[in-house]
Amino acid sequence: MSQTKTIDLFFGPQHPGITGNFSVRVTVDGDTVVKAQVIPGFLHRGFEKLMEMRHWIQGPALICRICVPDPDHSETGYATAVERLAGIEVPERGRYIRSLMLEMSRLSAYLFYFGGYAGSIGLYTVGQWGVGDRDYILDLFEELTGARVYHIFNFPGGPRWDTPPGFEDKVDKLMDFLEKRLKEFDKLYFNNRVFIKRARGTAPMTKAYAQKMEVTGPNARATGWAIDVRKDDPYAAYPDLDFDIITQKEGDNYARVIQRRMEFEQSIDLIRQITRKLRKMPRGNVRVTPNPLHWKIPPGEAYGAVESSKGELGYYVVSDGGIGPYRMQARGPSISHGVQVYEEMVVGQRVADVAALMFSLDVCPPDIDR
Amino acid sequence: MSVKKEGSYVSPFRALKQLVKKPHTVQIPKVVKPPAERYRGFHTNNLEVCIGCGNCSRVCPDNAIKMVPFPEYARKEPGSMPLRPQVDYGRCCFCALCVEVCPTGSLQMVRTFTHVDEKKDSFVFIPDSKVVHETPDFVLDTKNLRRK
Amino acid sequence: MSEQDFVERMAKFPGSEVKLLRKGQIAMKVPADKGHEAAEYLKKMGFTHLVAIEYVDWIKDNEFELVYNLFSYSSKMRVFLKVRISRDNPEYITFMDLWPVAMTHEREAHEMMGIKFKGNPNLTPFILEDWKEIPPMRKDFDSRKFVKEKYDSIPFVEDEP
Repeated sequence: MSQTKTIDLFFGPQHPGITGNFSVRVTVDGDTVVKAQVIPGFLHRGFEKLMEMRHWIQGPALICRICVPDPDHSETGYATAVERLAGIEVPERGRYIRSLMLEMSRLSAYLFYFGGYAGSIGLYTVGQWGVGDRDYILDLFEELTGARVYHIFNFPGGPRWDTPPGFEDKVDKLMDFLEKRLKEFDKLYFNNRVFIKRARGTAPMTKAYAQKMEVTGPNARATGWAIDVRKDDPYAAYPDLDFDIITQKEGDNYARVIQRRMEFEQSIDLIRQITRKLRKMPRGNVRVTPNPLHWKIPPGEAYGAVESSKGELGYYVVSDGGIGPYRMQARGPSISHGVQVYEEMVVGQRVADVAALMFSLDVCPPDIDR
Repeated sequence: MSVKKEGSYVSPFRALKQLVKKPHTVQIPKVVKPPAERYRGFHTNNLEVCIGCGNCSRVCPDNAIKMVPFPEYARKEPGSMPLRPQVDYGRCCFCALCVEVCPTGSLQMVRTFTHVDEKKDSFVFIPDSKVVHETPDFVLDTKNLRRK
Repeated sequence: MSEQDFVERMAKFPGSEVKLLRKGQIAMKVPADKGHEAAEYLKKMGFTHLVAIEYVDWIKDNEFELVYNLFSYSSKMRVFLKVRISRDNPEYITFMDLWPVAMTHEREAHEMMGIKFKGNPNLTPFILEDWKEIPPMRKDFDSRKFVKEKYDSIPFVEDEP
């Protein structure tokens, strides 16, 4: 047996095939990865420490920055945890508006995701389309919340404002548009032979492995494991909405992308259900928040989780009776599938699939670093 | 979704028909897309109505608001202080919490969000009712913002 | 099984202090030396999903609290398994044998709180780089002082004239 020579390669943090500020050190033997080590921490901003110096109400202004493409889930996770801790019940209309925002946020995150994976295998048009269509969702966010990317909208106690007049119609119109666009995406991307050849059978994850490594979200559902925080630990208006958990079987790159594509369709359907309900509901009462400057929460702890576009995103909040959290800890979805799972799954892959696997798992470095 | 098992080499070429479609973008600066009604831009403050209570400064998550003395507004009303808020837009994150806690409703946000200057100090100013407006017709509706 | 059944079954574990916090969330406090045993007990009850390992610094009691956040997909219940360890010599045992992904969570707790986990082979620097101060998530770490020393060119708002 001849001695093989291995080389260390650094992927990132300035590599275009990396999802954000992240780095992977891969040891390659020829074209095959034999060892990988992730290096997170380029985006560590110390949110958990900073939260300890803030009031309860100031949280959403800060922690929406935890996951950049999908900020509403961060806000809502925190808000859900604080509501559970303080025993606040959000009015019905508030819960529906919250769900509407979350699903819109999921759509925008998935449009990024489609482009990301397609970009990693050289289909750059998908990314341009995705970002272009995402902008229409951001326009609606601007109309509802007053900001495009970081909305600072889902406060503990409910969303800040009611929808502007005629907003539901605009949302429905956009959903029709996105549904039409999805058909074009199918032709361009999901039925593209290049994509299918590259993705099918690459880096499969079994259901047993997903269960062993606590993988959550679409990655777990792509292996056939039907878990969804929206069903398991309901929040916002999800207990009242009608939807089933979508699963795939194979758990490879192809299944993971198709899983998101199917959930995209499901989100459109959920948004239509929500707008139908919102039109029938009396306007006005959306939020119950105590006076933010003198808001104290009795000692205790609570956990609030949401199903973000990447998996289970949860917040553990501890109060000691003060005006702000004593401790706040975020559980980012990527802490499981971005570190250990990725390190193990990338072994045996080709160098060209290092970035593709990272995109297909949808690793979000900011929620590892926080 | 109609997935063919093997996919197709031909169907992606249908994307070419986008070439004859209108672009998604608008032609800046010939066409400018106005911000939405609720857009959170610079502050505006009615200095006559403001009582200088400092709630905005206390609730600000970024410490962007500093209360500066204004002796000419010394009044005898209870709770009134001869202070007015000064905002540092290098720190402001435009969350509008200050607008939310303002008891008089004098502090508002306008839709204008552009300010270009070479000097760093020009980004720190005391918002008054004259704050640069391109769209003076709109201020944030605070009826829904009132705290309980 | 209802929540009350779960509470009763957990209370049977020797030395445990069980409290139903709210719908679907239970807190279970056990002595530090029984932690691993309790985790196994809970795993057998169906709490198979380790969501996260949370760590809280209770500086007044001179104790660190480790919270093993477990979820059961079969009964949709969540339990916070809490153990307290001394602040002076923070050391605990790894739960990697029960949940392999505990390795990452323990690595983070080691870095941010300075808790050593016996049996975890990978307690290398994780997020922070060239860290020489005390672990940053401890309550006695003064982040304002740290920022002032490290980035002295940017003054605080309060320090401005």
